[in-house]
Amino acid sequence: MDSHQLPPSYSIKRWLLTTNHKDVGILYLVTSLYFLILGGVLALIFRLQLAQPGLNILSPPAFNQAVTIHGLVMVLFVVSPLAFALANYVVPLQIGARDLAFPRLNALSYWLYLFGGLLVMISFFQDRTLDVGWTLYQPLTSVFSPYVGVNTGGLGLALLTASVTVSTVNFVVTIFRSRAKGLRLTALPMFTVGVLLTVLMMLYAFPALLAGIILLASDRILGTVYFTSPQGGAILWDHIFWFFGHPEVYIVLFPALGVFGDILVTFSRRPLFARRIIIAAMVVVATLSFLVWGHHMFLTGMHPDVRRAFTVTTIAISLPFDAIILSFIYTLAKARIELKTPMLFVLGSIAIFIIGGITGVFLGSIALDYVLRGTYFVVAHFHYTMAGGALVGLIAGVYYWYPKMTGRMFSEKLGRIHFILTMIGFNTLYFPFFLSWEMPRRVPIYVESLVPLQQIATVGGFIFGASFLVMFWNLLYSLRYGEPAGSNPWGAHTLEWMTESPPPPHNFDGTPTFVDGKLSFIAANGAAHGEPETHLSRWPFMLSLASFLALLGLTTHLLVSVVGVGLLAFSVLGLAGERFISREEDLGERWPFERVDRMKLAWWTFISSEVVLFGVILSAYVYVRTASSTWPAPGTLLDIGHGAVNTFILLTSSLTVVLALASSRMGSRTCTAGFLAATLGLGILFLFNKYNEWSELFSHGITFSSGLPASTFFLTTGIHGAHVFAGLLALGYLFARALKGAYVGKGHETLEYFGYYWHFVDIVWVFIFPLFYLV
Amino acid sequence: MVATTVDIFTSLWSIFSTLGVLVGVVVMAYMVYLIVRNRAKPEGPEPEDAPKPGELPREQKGAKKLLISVILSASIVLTLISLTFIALDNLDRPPAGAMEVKVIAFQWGWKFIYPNGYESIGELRIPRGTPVKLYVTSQDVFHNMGIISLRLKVDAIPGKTNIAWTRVYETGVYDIRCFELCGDGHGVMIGKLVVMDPEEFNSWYSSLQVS
Amino acid sequence: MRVWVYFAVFAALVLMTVLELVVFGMPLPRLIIDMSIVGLAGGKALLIALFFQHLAYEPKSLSSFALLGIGGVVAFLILSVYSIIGIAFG
Repeated sequence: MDSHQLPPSYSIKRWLLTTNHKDVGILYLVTSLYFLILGGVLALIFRLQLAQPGLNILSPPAFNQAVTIHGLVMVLFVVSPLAFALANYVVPLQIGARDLAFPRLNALSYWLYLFGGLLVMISFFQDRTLDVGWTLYQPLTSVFSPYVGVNTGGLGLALLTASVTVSTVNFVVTIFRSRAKGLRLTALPMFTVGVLLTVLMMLYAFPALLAGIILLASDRILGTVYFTSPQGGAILWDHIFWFFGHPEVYIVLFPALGVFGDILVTFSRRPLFARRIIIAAMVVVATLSFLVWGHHMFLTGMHPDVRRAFTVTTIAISLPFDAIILSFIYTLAKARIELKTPMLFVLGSIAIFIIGGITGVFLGSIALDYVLRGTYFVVAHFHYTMAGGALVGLIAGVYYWYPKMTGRMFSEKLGRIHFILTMIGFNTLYFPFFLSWEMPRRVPIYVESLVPLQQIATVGGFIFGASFLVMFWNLLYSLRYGEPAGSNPWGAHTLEWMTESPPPPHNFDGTPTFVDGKLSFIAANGAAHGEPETHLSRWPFMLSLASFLALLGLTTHLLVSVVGVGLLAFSVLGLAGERFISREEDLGERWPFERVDRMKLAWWTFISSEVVLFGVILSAYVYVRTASSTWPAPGTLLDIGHGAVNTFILLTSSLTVVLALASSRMGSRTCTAGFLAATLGLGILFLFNKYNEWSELFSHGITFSSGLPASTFFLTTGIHGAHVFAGLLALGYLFARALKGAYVGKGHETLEYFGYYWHFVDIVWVFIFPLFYLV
Repeated sequence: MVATTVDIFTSLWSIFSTLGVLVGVVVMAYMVYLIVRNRAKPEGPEPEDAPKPGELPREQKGAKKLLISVILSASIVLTLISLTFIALDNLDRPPAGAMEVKVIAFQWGWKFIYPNGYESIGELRIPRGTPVKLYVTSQDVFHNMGIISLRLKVDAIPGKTNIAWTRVYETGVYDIRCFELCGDGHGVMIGKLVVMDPEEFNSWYSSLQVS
Repeated sequence: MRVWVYFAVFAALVLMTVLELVVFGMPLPRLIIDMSIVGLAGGKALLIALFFQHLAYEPKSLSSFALLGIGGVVAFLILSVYSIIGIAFG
């Protein structure tokens, strides 16, 4: 197979193997719209149930499952992936890159996302899927919902967090390292600005979710007591979940804000009002988003100082939003507004978002939140922001870039009909929710006086749902019969419009540059580039399939897991050994990472996500210790000797890793292999010692479920040990290659990158040792 | 009469909703005005600073206009936040001489323990006009006790006790509902608060047989 | 990168670990012991990051992502733990 050429678009092979960012974008688009139908149909079913109190369309458990999966699917599998469909397609074009920095990882993100979604869907066919609300509150989820499907769904979420981490690293490196010359960060199109800030928030928010899922899975499967004991329990979960969950709200929203910015400029024929202030305000929001989570917990009875602090940050975050939205509106002054479909959707979405924003201030006020918490007012508010602001905003983006993706214009008339139906349906559906503010969320039974409002909402729901049929028809019909679009049908100024529609695989003929402050192309010098770049790989799909099977087996048949793990090992080796050519742009704007190559940047981005993962796990430990009135004194539960010995072992192994690196630089094959072998030995020794320590504890009857001191110890050192184990697998591979003379002379960067990981695992232990054994 | 939880909420709610509607209407009216006035007419010329293909983005200057707008909304928001803190102060300080009742939420119902040790399930009786202080916890999962018509809500969390209070000046029956998803019976986790004439209450309360 | 730096850093790491164990056994107030031990751990982590992971020789921008992550974790730790100070569970 010639892997440099893409097979034609009707070939299934193309879509299974492609690594091209535009293809992956289309895959994301189709999949997220599919999940939109799934989440939407679930919503319509429970809207029917709610048309009359006491209807029996859904049993109470079915009702809970429907609202839970609706929420999870819409937030995690629809809106964000839809944003990443656009980001995949558009960001490389907007910055003048030929592809993302790591095309195979990009395909991997997509397949992990798809298979994560499949796990969630499979859980429907087990006893019960997640039925605990999308916020997975505790201890309801940890013990009171003992269904296998809940585990499967949770594993699906874990796979999704893996997908997100991979694509985060990819987009961070791409946007920092692959911009066309002269395209400074502040000169990026607004959509790319939005995506950059989104992935930076993802980088720190999703590891917290992963940490939460790990603790939760450990409680459910291994029997640890993080969330079953009151000292951890409901409130610890709230902190972890909302530390992820509030940034997640802006993660969902920011790409849409970027869409607003680009479309407003194009269709109002004016530069954006106070563009740099908008960007600054978005940076402020992204930062503050990690400091406001407590407003989801105002009624849990937290310390008054903390409650006050969270009120102030929550209210404060509305001010940069004021600046952003008002700037968008001021842009319209003295403009020449063309009310085409994308612009209509943007304006409608902004109007809806204003209502969502204002009602958000209500919820930021604790005194009002005392009453509004858990009611339809909250449901109305977040649908006005996340469905109206984010989803409808992204739909604007789908229309805007549709001509670029397909080379065809959609039907403007159908677009307008869709817009009108959306506005009518959306507001008929969600505005009655504000008026139903006395009604609890997630209940199929309610007072008679609310029947008219709920029925209006149900009618609105069906109008809103039907509006999407118009869109699907429009997009499909125009694919074939739409007018040819040409390269720049909207007269936009950004770079994605300066190439054909759809763009060729390499995006631009020549290298785009803004060196003179204006776009020009440096003629491509084909011969100098050597071999053409690769656009196909089978490993991303295989690796995701393998992970899917490995996880699926855990809740079905262990044999499936065994097959999965085997396939996983095979795929990782396949990926590592594959010859895949993807060159970095020769001329690129790379501030502030001019002197950092892309692999190094990728590794540090990844390590930063690990910092948050372990940071949250260690914080959970400090938290439960603070909450517990008694805790075993140092040296009573755990043997300090084991901890100290393991500390020395791991410190020594860090030394041998840097010595292996130094040897490879000095050109000594024997020393390189020798020091790698020493590291391998030390790592095995560490795990052996750990094994002995655990067996001693078990033999004294101390297990995962023997209270929080034991639970936190086993979980924290277990996750750390898993990292050591993963490191050992990599070491085995490195050692085998080093024996054959790899890394000597050239390629020693690989050892440097491995060192980043290994030393990081060492650093984690440097904290685990004193925190668990000595303090 | 002393303020009740309903009064505190209602006054704050009316200020928030008045300002909220006002701001919303002004902003949206301004937006619609701009759209209608500036919509493209076929003969209309392009604005002078219209972005041209391949150009780096420019911006309209307007820091001052924006600053004024943000200061304006900041002052509204600051007013709202100080009002919130005042209201919160009152909510956090239950009046003296309250009757103290322990509430234990469970899947799926409410258990009430009166000061004399009497326990009842599903129904809480209180005298009219006397403040009531609720010590709320849960014996299984995270619930939320809400008496929405009294504007009262408090999280019921296993292993932790939260405090809420109310005072009702009218006799009657009020729904107690769960406002946090707590499992299959969440929708039917409904209790009753019965506010009684003080004399009736006293005769009922003193007749209770407590084991 | 001179190899002796690696050995010097390693020696310092071992020494600081021994110091942790020594401080642990000293007849000092619990709080002082705990603070010093955690402080020493922070110092060790810094040494590893600067000299084994070579951050001392890289552009400062490369450290920024990890530092932001640490900032987020510190905010999480402080606010979540502070939120339950003085509250009885059980």
